Amino acid sequence: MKRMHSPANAAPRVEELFEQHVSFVWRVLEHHGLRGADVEDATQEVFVVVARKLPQITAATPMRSWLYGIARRVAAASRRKAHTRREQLTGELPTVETPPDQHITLERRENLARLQAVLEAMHEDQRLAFVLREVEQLSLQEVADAMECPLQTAYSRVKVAKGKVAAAFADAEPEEVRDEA
Amino acid sequence: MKHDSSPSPIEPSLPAAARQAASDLRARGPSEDALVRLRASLGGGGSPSPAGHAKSGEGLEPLRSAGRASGSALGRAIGVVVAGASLAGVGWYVAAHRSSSNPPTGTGPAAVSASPASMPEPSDSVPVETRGAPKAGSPAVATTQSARPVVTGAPSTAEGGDSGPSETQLIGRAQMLVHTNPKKALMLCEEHARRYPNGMLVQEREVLMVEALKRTGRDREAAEASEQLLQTNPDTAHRNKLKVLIGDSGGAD
Repeated sequence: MKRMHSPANAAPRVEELFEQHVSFVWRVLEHHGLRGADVEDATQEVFVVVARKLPQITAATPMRSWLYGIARRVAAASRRKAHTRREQLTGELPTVETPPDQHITLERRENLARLQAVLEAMHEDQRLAFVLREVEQLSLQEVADAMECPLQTAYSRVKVAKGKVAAAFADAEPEEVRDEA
Repeated sequence: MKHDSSPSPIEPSLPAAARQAASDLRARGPSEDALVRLRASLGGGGSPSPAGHAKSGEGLEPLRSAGRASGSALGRAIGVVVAGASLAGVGWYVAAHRSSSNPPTGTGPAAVSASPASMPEPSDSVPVETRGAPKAGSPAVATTQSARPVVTGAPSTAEGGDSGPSETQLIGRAQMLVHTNPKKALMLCEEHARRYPNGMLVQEREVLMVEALKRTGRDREAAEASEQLLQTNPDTAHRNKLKVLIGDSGGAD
């Protein structure tokens, strides 16, 4: 299939970006408080924007940071809609949308719920910095790019967030620190 | 640059259970049904039809009301892309990723343009937090040719309270010097490696080292360092940058 981009930039097609990053976009939207149908609609809107901005992508584009920026704005717009439920991060997981949850153990579910509870209690900037860094495994530079903040700020947010998460897990059940292969 | 030998207050490490939870969190994503619907909204093989998701045949359920409108918008947007209409909406990305070389002037990256024909304008008026002008006197010097955000050499320690150079200071200075004094930048990276072997800026350090090595003519070492970084972090978003630096003919993928 022919690519629709200039060879110099080697920009991917929107379908490629979709396949590679749809889960990331989905999670980012969830972390911005969207749920269920709103996530799906917003995901679609994100890739509408992506399709539009495709020519801007170059080989040096930090893709996930770039996508995050779009997703964040789409999420903000979605939350502003009258029919959209407001931010409602809860400790409960939307398991319907998360097939991988099916096989995890109860203990892991509890840990996941605990993590979400901690994240919920955080300032949004800290939560998102943590998510980008520790969940999505972005480099700190990418986190800074994504959040459009200086590197130091990203660093501080991640650090504070990690401290809170670490404290929550330390307080909870210290003995259950076992790494599952 | 001096630094005391006391252990720096590096980021707290996460308990294994928390790391596992983060990993489980990362495993989440759209359901298969949602994926099918979303793919359909992309127009299948990418052929932009005016109807957007009009590809039917196996009960591809159109998205919900909002999504339905967006589906059409997506089809149109792809069409627009194919047609080469690339001018609209240059603002955000360029602003966001060039601001390091264009110190804050005017509105900055908050001016986001992301409103295709029927989209509900997800961004334009969103007051995103401004970057690039965090502290008075920050030099906001551009360091590399690509998407590097502002990293100041100001004495504000991100770690707080550490009497030695912070991670961000070391890497920030290295970024500032990598063009003009790559050897010094390399030294700073090495110091960072000593002080913060498990810091949060390891990837940034490694990318800087690749660039510094390249600029000092140590192409082979640069290529090796790049390859090692890519092997260690196959998912890194620095991949493209590294390939640009190394001049890999492999392209963006």
